[in-house]
Amino acid sequence: MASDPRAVRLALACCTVVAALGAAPARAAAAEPWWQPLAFSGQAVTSVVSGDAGSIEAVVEGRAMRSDDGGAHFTDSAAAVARPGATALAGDTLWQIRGGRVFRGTPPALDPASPDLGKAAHLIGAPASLPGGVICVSAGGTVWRRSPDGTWSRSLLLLPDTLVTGVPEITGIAAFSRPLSDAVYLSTRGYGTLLTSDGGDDWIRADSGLPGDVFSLAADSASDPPQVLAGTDRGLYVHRLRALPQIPAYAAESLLGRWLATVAVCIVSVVAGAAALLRLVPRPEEAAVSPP
Amino acid sequence: MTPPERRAALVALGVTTAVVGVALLAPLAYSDPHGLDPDDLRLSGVAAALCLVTYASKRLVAARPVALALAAITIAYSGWLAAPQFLVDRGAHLSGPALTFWASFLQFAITVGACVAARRLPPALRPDLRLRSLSGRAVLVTLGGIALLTLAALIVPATWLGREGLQTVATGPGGRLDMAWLGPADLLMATAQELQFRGLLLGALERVMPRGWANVLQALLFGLSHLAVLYQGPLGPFLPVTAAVGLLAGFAVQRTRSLWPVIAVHGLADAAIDAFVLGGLYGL
Repeated sequence: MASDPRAVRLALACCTVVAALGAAPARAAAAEPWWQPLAFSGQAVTSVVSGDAGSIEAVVEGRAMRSDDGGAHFTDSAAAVARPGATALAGDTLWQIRGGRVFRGTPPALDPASPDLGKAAHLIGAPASLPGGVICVSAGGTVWRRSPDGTWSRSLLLLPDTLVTGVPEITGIAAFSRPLSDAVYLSTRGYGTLLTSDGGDDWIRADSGLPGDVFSLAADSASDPPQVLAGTDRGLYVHRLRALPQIPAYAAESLLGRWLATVAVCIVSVVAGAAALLRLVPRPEEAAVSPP
Repeated sequence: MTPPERRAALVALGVTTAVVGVALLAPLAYSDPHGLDPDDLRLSGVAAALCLVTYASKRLVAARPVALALAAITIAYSGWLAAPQFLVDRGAHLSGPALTFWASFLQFAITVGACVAARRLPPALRPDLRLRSLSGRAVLVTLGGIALLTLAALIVPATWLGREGLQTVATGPGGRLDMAWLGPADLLMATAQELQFRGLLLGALERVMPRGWANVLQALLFGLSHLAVLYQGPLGPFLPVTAAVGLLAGFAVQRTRSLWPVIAVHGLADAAIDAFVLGGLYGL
């Protein structure tokens, strides 16, 4: 076709523009993975607890291990690892579950509107940056939330993974005891970790890089940067506190070049497409359309 | 059908798909396309331009039905994406579900416009939308489809389906999930999409090739079209799953000779996703 050489030249010119724009420093730097392996790769870490002075205690394949350097090195620990859960410290306020009800402060006083969570309930989290906000899990797996005004409501009910395997078990809760973040993390055996940053109103899945089976969670407020630790069936993982990813916002002037490039891509592809249509579709005498 | 007409339809399908694909994916090389073109106007633009090319040339008359179907798919999708922000920018004080309803209404209206345009195509090429029949078999397929959908949602692992398995059960003042708006919105959207893929596209392809191949091609395009969806989950399983759903829906349409069963099942599936999945994901 007579137009083909022009179309090819136009395509080459536009590709050059696109390539030049693509080479511009507009791409976001690759972010650190949301979760990263920290230790005990391939081994089941069934429990993890963070201490006040930055220590980490973990149960690995039944052995108690301890680190005093943020997880860089672990040694066998003589002391038994404390069972995580049942209490949550938010600033100076201690929240705890006793006999299936939620208690606040020292000495503990029953939170009057708290629901009956069941005797076996022991998972509770309270971010220090959201005074009065509490998340806890009932023995039946329903997640409850306490608003700062003291009202309680159901927050989350996991859907079954399959009809056969049922609803994944909720295994842990973690929140920072210092006012570092509103986030509360929830671990499950099947759906990785979930995260809420509005007191349990909305939840998102936040387990990129993490195995699906998470046995235990711990928030380490003392480390720098603050971190969340996850004991999984494939090792101990760490998430260092940072902002949730956001859709990039561009300044208007930085969009112009990209808009032009996109328009160029569209024009070139339409010209090439039209040329292909005209070239490949048979002529009318070949493709006689049946009369009405 | 004649081989030249079949070739024209296949060329229109292949070329338009390739051009829309380039417009969709090429900007990834130098920008975040969602920040740059949140309404995917580039897809509508190229599909509409190629459709106009087929209408501008008598030589391309046999390519028009497929080009029209693809233009309807992309333009209606862009309209659906753009409508909420358009309304908000003009001072409309509407809730999120209400905005979704009006966006779906626009998508439906654009699709109906394309169906009206399809009525003006030569009878030999005109797609059969299969809206005039609803047999007993179609009703049975509808009920069976709903049962199958429910069973599949319960048996197939959540991660395979791309859903997160979350549900927010707390309801705030006024209700978190306003299904009074979202229910009709889902029905309008399902009707529009079924008219696009199993009406206009499948109908156009069936005119020029065996029904089985026509169904396979529309299902492939149905799967591929989900590349453009603002979807944050694993794309790997999502595309084959949607293609398989498209194949099943096309088969149901061909067997029942009615579009109504798939509209009903599709609408119900969308409503179920709104009610049980998206609320947990996005806090609607």
